[in-house]
Amino acid sequence: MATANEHTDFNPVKTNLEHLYIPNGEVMDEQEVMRRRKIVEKAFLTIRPAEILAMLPLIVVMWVGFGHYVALQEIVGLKVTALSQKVFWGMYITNFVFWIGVSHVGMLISAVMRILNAKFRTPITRLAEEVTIVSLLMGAGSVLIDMGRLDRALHIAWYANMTSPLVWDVISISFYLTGSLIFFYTPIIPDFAYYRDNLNPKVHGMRIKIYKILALNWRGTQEQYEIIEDKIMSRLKWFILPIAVSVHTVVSWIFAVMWRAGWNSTIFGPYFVSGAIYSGTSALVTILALVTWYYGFEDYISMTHIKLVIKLWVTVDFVYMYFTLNEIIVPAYKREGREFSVLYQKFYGDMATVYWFVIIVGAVIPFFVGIWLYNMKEKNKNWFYLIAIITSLLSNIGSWFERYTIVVPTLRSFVVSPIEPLYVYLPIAGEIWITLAQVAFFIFFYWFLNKLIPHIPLWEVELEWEKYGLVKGETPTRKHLNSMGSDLKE
Amino acid sequence: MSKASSFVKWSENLTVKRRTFIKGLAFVGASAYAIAPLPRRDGFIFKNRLPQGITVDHSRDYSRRYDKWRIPNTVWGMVIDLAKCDGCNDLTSKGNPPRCTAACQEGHHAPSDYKQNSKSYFDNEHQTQVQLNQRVHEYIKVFKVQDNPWSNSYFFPRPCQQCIDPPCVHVCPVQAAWQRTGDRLTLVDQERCIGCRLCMAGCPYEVRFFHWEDNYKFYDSNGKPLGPDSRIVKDFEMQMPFEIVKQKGVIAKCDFCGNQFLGKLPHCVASCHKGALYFGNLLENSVTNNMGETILVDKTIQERKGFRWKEEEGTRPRVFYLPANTK
Repeated sequence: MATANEHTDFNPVKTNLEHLYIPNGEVMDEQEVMRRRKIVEKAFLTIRPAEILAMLPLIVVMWVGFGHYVALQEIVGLKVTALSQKVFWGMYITNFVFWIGVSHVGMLISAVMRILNAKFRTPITRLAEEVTIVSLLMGAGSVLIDMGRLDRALHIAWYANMTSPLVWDVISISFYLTGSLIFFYTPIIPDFAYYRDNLNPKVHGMRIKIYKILALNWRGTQEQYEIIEDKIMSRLKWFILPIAVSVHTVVSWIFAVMWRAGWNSTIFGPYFVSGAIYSGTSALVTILALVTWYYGFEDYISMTHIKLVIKLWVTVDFVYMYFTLNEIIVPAYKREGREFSVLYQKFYGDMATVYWFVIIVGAVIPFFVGIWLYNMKEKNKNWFYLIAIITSLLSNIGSWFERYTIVVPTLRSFVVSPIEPLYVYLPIAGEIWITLAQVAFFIFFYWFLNKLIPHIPLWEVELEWEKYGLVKGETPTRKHLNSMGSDLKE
Repeated sequence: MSKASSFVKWSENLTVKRRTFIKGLAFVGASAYAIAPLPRRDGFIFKNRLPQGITVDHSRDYSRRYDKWRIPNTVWGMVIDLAKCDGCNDLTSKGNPPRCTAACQEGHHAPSDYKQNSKSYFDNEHQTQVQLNQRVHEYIKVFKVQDNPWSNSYFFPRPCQQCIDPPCVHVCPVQAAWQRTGDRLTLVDQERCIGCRLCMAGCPYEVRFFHWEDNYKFYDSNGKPLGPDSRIVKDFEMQMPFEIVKQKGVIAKCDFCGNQFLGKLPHCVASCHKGALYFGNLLENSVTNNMGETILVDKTIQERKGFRWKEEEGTRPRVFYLPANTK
């Protein structure tokens, strides 16, 4: 067999693409490509018993959380939470900041990596974009759960007060959700078209009907590809960048524009954005390791791919730690009365356990473990997955508590007199169930989305393989294009 | 042929041109733009509550509550003499609220059930009683303050400061927190409030309170709603700027009472047994306490070195404090 480099006659920049997909540097034949595609098909077309077993407890948790929300909170009022006149924001706002933060990974992987033309982003784009969409929905839902009068949610549209940071937030989240949906949906169309034409109608009749609608009459012509690549994706990637950054900046402004010690910070915008990208990337590491290990996607998402995401994760972690340090050092040095009462709770007070968990387990340990994972050998693959999943999950839990230690200590500290007692907020069952239900809903909805849509953007990966000469013969995508009578030339 | 497959067929034969599509979008957008302001202008959806015969030329105030309760040429203000306030120690030592707070809760029918609403425990670190789930509404609350370890402690009543430039109005997403023109009272439109509690975060004085449940004072001890003869229902139907909230999920706050429109002093001012609270029209430069004592605002503030709380926030409050140690 010839090596990959002999076929890359038009490739002026040496790419390490063959590293990503073919460890031994060989060229794939048609059967090999088909075998790889079958792995993805098995994963998204069938539901395994183990998956059903895993989803059942999630449905129970969702049901309990939903019951708490409807039967208690919507009927009795927010009385069923532990919130009080003093600590009036708690777990729900923490959830809001957390979910909106997680959603930033889609922007990072699909827009920033597309702009930087990073090769490794191709097979993981879709998994990252799905995180964005599902967690954005969760974030918007958290605000609605926190609202006292859900029936008046539309008042924000009727009576919008443009000086309110919440209105800015509604606007930027709507823009981001719309942009992400377009960004997510557009590259799936060719895959929808492939499965519209290549599934067995007797087995997957319903799916074919759905895909027929979703494929938007895709014929794979030159013009259609140009619309996707040149007209939509390559323009939107520039637009989505400022929109995504604006989302968490505006979330941070909800806190930073208030006259509150601990929130009264000028670097809250970049601090939140770095924390957001960090938690989003940890969520992506968890998902990549889990999905690759469980479905056996190593041929698409190799250990090198995950390592590159981990490299990104470690870098963002560093930026995040840097901002956290700034956020601590400046008020801790000055020890201004109210600022210090907030810091005291975090450093030595009753929130110290949570706060040091946030710092050490949530940020410092993932940094070093990430470096270790990046240098791990191929033979330790199972350990690699296991450690990556555990560390990134812990760092995500740390990220949640980091939001918690931003929201709560500020509200607990005094406003009138330093001899006021410290007010207490201890979340109770209802809030905790609703939060767990959100997590369960996130996992369930993510899993459900992945049963409808291939986990990997197959056509994109296969055309990339062709482009870089990693395939001898025709890929399924190419065959499908020919069968549709496509005029797409290379 | 089933409905789904006919839709599939229709979607395959989509021949709407982009230009037509954009035209349609533009039409929808333009109509939405035209219709959207209607509810505000004409009471299209929300009933217009403006009483007959009163003209209000400010679009911001249109169809809000309280509009007939307004006296021209007034800027209501309060002067609080910290030297006189004794914090009602005789009551607070037994766990009861001070007189001003109690009278306010009585007059506004605000949730005041201290026993049910709070669980407390002893905080060893601060050597104080800490209250959990504190959900009573204290539109005026008395704090014990000690400025430094060598000074004497004094009591600090805290009503809404009625800022000229109120942060709560800026941050409210639906303009439910609003400052009306004329007397510039900062009020809450409880029929518009969505309960996001952004104004509670925005207020540097923490004088805004949330209704965590339906107001239990509208129900008798058996849980039945009170009839139209009860005082609370009559007060509620008067709809003067007089914070009475029936339903859960909205904000309430001190609104300097509606009593001044009836020629009376606010509940807190009227109830003070030391005469520490003064209330009046700042344009007339005179404020009065319940002892019948009327003082000039500018002269008193100059002589007693009066101050506004948190001057550094730039909110320009209309509550003036006279320091405790300059009597």
